[in-house]
Amino acid sequence: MSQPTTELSPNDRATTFQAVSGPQPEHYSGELLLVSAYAVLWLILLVWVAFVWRKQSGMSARLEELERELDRAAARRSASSGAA
Amino acid sequence: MDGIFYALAALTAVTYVGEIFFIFLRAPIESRMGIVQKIFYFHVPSAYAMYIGAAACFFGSMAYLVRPSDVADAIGRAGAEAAVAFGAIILTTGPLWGAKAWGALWTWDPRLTTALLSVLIYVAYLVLRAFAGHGEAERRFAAALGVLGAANLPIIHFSVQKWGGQHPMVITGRGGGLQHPDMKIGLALGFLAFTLLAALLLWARASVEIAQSRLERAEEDAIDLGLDTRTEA
Repeated sequence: MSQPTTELSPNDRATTFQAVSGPQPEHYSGELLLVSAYAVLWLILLVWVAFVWRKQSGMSARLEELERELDRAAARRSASSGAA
Repeated sequence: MDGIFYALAALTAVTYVGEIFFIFLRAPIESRMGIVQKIFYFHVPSAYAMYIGAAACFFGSMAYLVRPSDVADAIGRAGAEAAVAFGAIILTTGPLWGAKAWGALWTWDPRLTTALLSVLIYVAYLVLRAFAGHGEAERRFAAALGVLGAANLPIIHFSVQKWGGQHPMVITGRGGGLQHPDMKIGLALGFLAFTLLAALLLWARASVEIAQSRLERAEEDAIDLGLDTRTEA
């Protein structure tokens, strides 16, 4: 554990900032890192699934449009054959 | 086929529940790293799942180059997406573990660097597919990239043995191995869960891609017949 170069009183800490020297103390909580990693895992997978879902929805819209166009073409054909 | 897909999804879910149970409730806390070591149980299987995606991309691309088909192209593209998704997981969970174990989020360790390179190759594949169009030439070019991209996979795997570095090697045993039976079960469940998940996602993604190719062909046929359909997504 590194120590400041000089011992500071509360009043000194209010008026000066001093850099630590030597190795830094640990700043990371293991629990927080574990939860973050697990959250990232599911977030990435959910984003991918949402992307696939969106692609599927876009295809459904295009398929419906194609079906409507086929229906209209079939209606035109039956109308023209009826007129003939 | 739908029944098999849903059975696979159910099996994946059950395996994940078992894995979570083992990771958080049964597997002991590692003596030197503490609880952060539990990242290992889904970081390593994610790397394995990335290999599965990359292998799917390789075989799909190879099949497409030999005999072009929608199925081969779809498998190649789905594999590349899986490689990027699981690669992103290893490139984020690994540094979170490293923050505690190494005191740094990232080092240019051989395995980290080669893994990053591999993910960038598959990102390039997807960018190419997204922006270069859907023509035969673009698909062939992407397939060639999918085949060449696999060349980096053995380099990732053997980089630690070949060039050293800081990355642990507990599975090969030289780093000491997993010292508790529940650690081994937790990791085994992780491998099973991520294998099933990768298979499930590859199946779903490839199915969507195949359906999209069929839809595009139907739209082209409709236009040839004089029907006014949309051609854009």
